[in-house]
Amino acid sequence: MLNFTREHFRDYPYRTPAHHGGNDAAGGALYWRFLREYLWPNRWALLLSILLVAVNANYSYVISYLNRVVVDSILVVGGETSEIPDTQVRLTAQDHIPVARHPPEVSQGRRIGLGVRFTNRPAEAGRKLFWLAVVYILTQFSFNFVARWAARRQIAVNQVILGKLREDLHQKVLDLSLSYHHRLGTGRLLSRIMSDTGAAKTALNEVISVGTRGASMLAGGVAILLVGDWRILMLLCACAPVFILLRKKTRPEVQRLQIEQRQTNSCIYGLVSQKMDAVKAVQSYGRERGEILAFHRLSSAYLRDAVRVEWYFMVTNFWTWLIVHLVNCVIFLYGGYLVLQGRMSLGKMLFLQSTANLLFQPVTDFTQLSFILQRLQVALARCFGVLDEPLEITEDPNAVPFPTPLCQGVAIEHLSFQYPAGSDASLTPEERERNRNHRQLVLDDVSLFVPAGQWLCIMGASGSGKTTLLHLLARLYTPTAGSIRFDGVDLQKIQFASLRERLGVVPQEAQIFSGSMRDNIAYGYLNATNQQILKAAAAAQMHDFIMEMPVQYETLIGEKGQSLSGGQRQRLSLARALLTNPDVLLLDDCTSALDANTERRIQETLATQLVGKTAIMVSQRISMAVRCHQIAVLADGHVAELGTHQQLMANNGFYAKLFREQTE
Amino acid sequence: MSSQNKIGRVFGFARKYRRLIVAAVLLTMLLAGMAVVPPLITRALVDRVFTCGETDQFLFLGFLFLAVPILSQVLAIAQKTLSVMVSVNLINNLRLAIYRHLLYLSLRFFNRTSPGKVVNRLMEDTWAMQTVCGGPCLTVISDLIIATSATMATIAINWRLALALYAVIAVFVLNYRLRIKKIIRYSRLVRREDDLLNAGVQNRMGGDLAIKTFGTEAREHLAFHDQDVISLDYGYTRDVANNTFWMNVSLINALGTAAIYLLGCAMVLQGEMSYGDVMAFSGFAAQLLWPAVRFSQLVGQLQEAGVAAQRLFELLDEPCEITEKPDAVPCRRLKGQVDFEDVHFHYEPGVEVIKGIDLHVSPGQTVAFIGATGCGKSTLLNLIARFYDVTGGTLRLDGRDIRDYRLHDLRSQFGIVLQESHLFSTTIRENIAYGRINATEEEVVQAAKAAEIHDFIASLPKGYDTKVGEDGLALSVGQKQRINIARAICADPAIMIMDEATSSLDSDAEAAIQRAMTRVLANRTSFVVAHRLSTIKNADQIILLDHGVIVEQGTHDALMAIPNGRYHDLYTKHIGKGVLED
Repeated sequence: MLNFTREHFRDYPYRTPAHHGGNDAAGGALYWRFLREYLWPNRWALLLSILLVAVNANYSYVISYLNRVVVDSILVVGGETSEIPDTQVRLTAQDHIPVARHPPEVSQGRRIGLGVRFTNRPAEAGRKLFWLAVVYILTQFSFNFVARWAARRQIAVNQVILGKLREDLHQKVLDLSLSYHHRLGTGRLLSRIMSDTGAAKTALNEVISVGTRGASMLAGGVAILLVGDWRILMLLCACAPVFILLRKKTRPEVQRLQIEQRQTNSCIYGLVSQKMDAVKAVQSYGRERGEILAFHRLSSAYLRDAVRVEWYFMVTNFWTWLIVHLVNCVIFLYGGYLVLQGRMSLGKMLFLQSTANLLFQPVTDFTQLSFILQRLQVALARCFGVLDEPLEITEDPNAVPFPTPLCQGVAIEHLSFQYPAGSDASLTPEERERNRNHRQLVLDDVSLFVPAGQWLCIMGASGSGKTTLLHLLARLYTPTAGSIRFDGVDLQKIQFASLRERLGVVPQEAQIFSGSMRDNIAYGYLNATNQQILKAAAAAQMHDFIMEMPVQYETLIGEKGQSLSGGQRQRLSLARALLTNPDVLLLDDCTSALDANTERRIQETLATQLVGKTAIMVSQRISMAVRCHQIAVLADGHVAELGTHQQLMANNGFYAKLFREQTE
Repeated sequence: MSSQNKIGRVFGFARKYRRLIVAAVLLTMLLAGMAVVPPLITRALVDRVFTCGETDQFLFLGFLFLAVPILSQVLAIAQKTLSVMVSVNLINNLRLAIYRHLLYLSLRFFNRTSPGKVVNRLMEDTWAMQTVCGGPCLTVISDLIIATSATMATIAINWRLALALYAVIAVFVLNYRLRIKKIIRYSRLVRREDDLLNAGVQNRMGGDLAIKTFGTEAREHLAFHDQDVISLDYGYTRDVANNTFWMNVSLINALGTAAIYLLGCAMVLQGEMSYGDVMAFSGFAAQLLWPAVRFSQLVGQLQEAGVAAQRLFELLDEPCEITEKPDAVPCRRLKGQVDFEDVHFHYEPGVEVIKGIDLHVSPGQTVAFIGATGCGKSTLLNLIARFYDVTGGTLRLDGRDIRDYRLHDLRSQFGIVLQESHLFSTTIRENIAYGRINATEEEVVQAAKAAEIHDFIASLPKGYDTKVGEDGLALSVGQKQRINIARAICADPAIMIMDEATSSLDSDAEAAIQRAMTRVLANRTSFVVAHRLSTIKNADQIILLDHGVIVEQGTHDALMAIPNGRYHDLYTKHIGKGVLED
């Protein structure tokens, strides 16, 4: 278990290697930015809380000073042996011990202990002790309430910062394009918004409280020792290099292990969620045993690292503790020697010893601080990584509304498109470069014109760029070259809001939101009346099956509700788009998961609903294509065939072949 | 389940490590015993050496003062190492047991439970248990011993002061009791709100295309903001309640120690105690107060771990619906004769999905199920692969009830291609060879060629070693589908099941795959569900289902020959004989 040289257990196909990176220069920039954007607006609240924490940190010194007063001027324990000869003390003591106070069961040792010079004690010791007690209690109350106040301020500020960070991230993620969403996946985006911000908040809180407390205690302790006994301070200073050395030796290793651990953990999550998603595949190929083994290896690798980190911590803590303990003992014994020599009072000795002891607190605090800062840096880097992601699609400042009504039509001119490079971590830069050159254009110089009020059907083999073309028309991606114009207005120059309002999209894989059926249909048009919703549902052929459900339009669907079949989902997204009554409709093979009867009925309703609208649709079905004014066949990103049904049939190409296949 | 039972079950997973546990417990007890010594040394130093000037004791006591804590620290490291090892292994075993169980659970469970929830339980709940199983359990033991010995020591030194100390401890516990309810309540609220926030974001990420196309970003962000405000608000209340609790703890601690100290000093003035006694007393007070807080905390932690254990055991107790008979027969490759004998099935009692199906399929035949959505096509396929057990009648494979076969052997007879294609985040090669790990390069390539995906893979820079999925190459739906088909082909099954396997492909690619499939399917029984009737025309039997019963059955030609038959009707409509009339 503790063989630190063997690392092979982490090499595993399901575990992508961790990235060890992140330099301190980048860290500085991150902190600066965090300070400017998130901390600065709350500067007064933060300052107040820092001040309060600083004041509160010196609480322990005050208490040990009060203890010194008790020992030296009230109880007058030990100490000034030089003033009174030993023998005299004992005699006096014994003379003064009243018999009644000392029942026989009191041990001899105690009797000796009690033989402290009563004569030496001030007469009003009792009263002094009482007043001291009052001061003592007042001090504690005041410090406690200062601390309470400080913590409350701190909590409030933390929540504000957390909220802002979270909302900024959420806003940004919503604004980012689909290609980014696709690259990161839901799980990772979610962890950015929720857990990284939480981690940043916790780390920030710790930095402020630990850092301030450490600095304040350090200053207070050094001041006390300077006044009290500089030799003790020297001794402590001599220990500092040992601490630094210790930290230097273990920190990189611990950090490395923690990065490995985090990576393994995210791999386990990935593995498990993937397999849980596809249990049917695992079971149907009888791969349960293999999967258990895969899980076992990852889980073991994680726990091995966890044990190692724990071990490192224990060893480091032990050495730290040992130094503290040794120094502590040396001071105690050295102080004891001075006391016995009569060169220092017992109270002062105890006070200095506890001060020296307390001074180790900031030292360990600062050791911890570097770990916390590391955590903060990682969390911030991940948050700002998202916030800095350039927006691929932005609204032009001089944007104009969508031309309504559309008079001329939609012009696609020399359109080319290439998907942005993926982030395959396992590729070397050369391979990535090769990949980039290799990746061909999905769309290559496509030019089409759809007159207003006419329908264009796009056909072609899978991977020929049909869906990409629709996504470009909806401005979900930005074309690599060429342009799309609506009535001569460039798509890039159209206001987002009006574009979304006038352009309806029915995607191939319909997305549903957790909520009622009604909410889902009315997603694009919140103010729709019941009548309109019913009409849209009926047009999409989903009214009947909704009415078969126990609570009909109020049926919950999505995460917590009923699951819908592929066909039902497609019909839902069609109803959603029809409800918004757009001028231009983009339909992406929206009947592929439907059975023949439903498909036919939907085609018939579409034929009536789309009259007067401009429509561009992707379809595999000849029966849909023949209803369109124009048909375009895409092949490898080019327009291979273009024309009406008759023209294409005469052309005797892909379309004619498809027609024969589907009607023979 | 009673809590004792739960604890017993948790430790059932640690039985292998009982020696380590015993060693850890013994070490803990030793350490706790040693904790009494340091305050007594301080006391002796102050009373004997500093007060009475017994300088000859100075060196000896000084040595003890130095050495005893070092010894106990070294022992503490050993103890902690042991406890970490035990807890880590314990949790690992628990996780493995749960994961294994999950993989064997029936699809009914996964239809009911979202994968995210299962993953959370597997990962988070086991962590919650680990935090308790390691250190805290041993802390209880050591705290109990330390508390006992400290109690005895304080009573021996001065019983009246000891009473004062217990009063302080009582206030300590009272503070915990009064405060903890609010903290727990708000912690739960925060967790609930965060879950909602999470679910909201997840929902939005799943619907990103819809959000973009309807331009509802602002509305969605507002929804997030509203939810966020609630969550932050509860978070503030929880943190403040927590803070109040801890501030109370430190106030009571400070005042309590001060009171004990000052009372002790007053007693010194009265001559009832020595100052060394007071110092020792303060040391013991610290040993007694913190266990009181820790104990209170532990109750909460134990409660949380109890909830986690409860949920984990719920998972473990989820009955494996599909079980193997003890006398199940092993089987090699079967011929592939399938018989349905009056098969009935329902997901929920009272709602029959399959209502008495009789069907004989000879080896090598291709059977196509068609019918409207919800007619029971996919359910039948699930029954054949025994993802569910029939609720009535029998299903025979090569003349033997499928429930008599060993599950692993039975499942390895099938190659299944589903409508929703899953790829695992690994190389394409591993994805294709998933059903047969020891497949040769040649076999993988052959399968890819048959699924019409080889050319595409070969065109990639890393070829079959290209990673797909989360961190890898993004594939289109059609490409994923073809890799899935390649996977099924590569597994070389006796029976092929295709549930809408080609729905995402264009007709051209589909036709190509069909041609390849006829070769691959030559001597295999196969079951096909498809919307496109053109793809199933050549099937040996076409079964038209309606609400769980067979309506029409026969070859394409036989069915087309039925005048006004349902299939005839469907086919003419579908194939577009009427297309040009519109």
